[in-house]
Amino acid sequence: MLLELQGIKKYFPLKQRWGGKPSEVLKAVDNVDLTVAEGQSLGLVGESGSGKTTLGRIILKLIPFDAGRIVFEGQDITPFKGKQMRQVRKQLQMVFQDPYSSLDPRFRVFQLLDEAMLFEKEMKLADKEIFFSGLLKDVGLSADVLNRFPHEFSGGERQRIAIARALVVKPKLLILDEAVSSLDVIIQSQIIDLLLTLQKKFNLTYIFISHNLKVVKRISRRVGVIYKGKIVELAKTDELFNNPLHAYTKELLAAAIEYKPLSIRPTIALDGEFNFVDQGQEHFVLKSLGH
Amino acid sequence: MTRNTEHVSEFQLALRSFKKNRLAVCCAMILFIFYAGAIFADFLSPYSYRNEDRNYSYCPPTPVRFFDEGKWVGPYIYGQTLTFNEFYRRVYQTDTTRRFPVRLFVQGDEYKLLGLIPSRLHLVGVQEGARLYLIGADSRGRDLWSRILYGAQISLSIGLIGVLISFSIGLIVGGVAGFYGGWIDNVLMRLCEMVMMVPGFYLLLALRAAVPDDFNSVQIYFAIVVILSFIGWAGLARIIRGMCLSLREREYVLAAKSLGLSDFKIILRHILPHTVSYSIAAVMLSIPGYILGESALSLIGLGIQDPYASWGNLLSDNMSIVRIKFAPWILWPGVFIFLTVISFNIIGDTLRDCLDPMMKAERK
Repeated sequence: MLLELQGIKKYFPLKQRWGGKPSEVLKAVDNVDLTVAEGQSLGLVGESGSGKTTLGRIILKLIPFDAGRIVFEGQDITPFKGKQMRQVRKQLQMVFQDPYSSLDPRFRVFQLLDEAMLFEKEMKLADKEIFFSGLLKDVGLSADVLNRFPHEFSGGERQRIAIARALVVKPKLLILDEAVSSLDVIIQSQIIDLLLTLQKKFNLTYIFISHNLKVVKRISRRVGVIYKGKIVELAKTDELFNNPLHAYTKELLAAAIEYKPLSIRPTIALDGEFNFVDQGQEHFVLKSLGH
Repeated sequence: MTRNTEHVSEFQLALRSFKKNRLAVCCAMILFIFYAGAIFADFLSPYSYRNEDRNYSYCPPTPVRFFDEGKWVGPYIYGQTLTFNEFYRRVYQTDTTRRFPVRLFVQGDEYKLLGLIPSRLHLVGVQEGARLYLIGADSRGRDLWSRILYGAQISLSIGLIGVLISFSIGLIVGGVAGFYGGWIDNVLMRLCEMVMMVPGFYLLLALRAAVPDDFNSVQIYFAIVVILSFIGWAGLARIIRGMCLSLREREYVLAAKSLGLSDFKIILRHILPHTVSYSIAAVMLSIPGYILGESALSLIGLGIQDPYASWGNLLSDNMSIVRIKFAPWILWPGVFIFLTVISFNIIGDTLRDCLDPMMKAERK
């Protein structure tokens, strides 16, 4: 396994007294176990606020979490800090949702890419330029963009630059946090094609976080459904879309096809004890122990 | 995909729109001239700041003349003779029989240009026997014009150095507080509030009182700079902190983090540069505060001491209305302070508008 998450928890305090324990918490990520094999792509779907972005940021340890372990390439990276963590981040990269804010507007493309070259200080400028040009070609941009500023590009081009930046360090795992959500449909499919090509070329592993089922279906081999911070169902893509077992998954698939007013939507409670049950064929569903 | 061949940053765009504002460019030129004057004060001034002649106390300006009875004879001045009237008050009379040519590049008082090259060369001067007072003399017969030039060295540099120190502190404190948040933020901000709580001028006086009064002029100069910076940093730190709180949530900060940049580098590269548009304007708008602060201290005799000149202590002569009536030219340092302060303010305002087009639109 390339990546293993064990019992990850992240609670945000909602009300907090001075020095005391928070009286109310938001369970953004609640006891999540997940494994990702090398070369695979895992889709994570869920509605806004379900904790999927938080989970993505936790994997990179961009935000602290309350409990659980992250094992990357058989190495427990949970206690890693500072320099050690920076070494691991070479392997773990992220592409963000909004290409308008994920590229610092003050930096030229060359500087943006160069920033990722932290570990290759002795590389010469000319070599860097050749390397970057190749990388930009891989993401479908010409080399003459190196001298430009982000504000000169369209959304799709910016996202390509963001992908190129994430690839500079030659990572193994790429977390794509709503990476195509802010783009229009045509550009979306272009970027997805690009991602699929790149996956083959660099043997990348993707964790694809999105609320867009169509996109997730296209890119992932396995899909996990997140609801209220918990993974409620996890199965192979076809299996999940053809045979949804959890009430929330059904709800989500139905909502993707047809718009339903909120009043009809049932609230699915997630209180009490649960167990992750294998339904056969690697199809896991969260089931209440009460029943 | 190629649109235009020229790729300019947002800062360069701002600079272009700054150049379109004539008033601001004018002010920038005034300041440039002032600072150039300060740097080359030794060469530009006819006399040294301590070259005195008590026989010429409050001597009026000696106008430079070019024509004699309608004939061009080159620049010259007339000598002045000192007499006393019936109230034993000094009266200077122009002695048209003694004529002294004004020469360029003359040998005069010794100095070291830029503190390095020893020289005696002055831009203008007259020979012994008369004194060239372009705008008049002070109580000890020192040339006011020379003293204003020398005073500019102190008054103008205090603003720059003071701003440099207090902005470094303010940026780092505000950046750290805003980036980390939590208890670090709490401690640093309470500290800022403690400094801001005390009214500025009283804090200035209190801090000045805490400095030993047997300091020499260099020590006093640095004491004043430190005191002024100590008062100035808190306000900026608070504003920078607020901006950093919002900036740290930007995705490029997360992206930088995931690339493995250290916190310090992220603050330096991705957070503080985005406060520049505010900071540059704030720097320009706060320099006058330092110049005025130094002037205020020197005016009441707590700053730069005689014989050293600063615009503030030159103005302290004006504390008596009788002297202003008798020698109105001693008001000149005030004109220079006024021009400097208003220039910095106009440049600051314009820069703020240029660097932050959104804010400009909001205000309209």
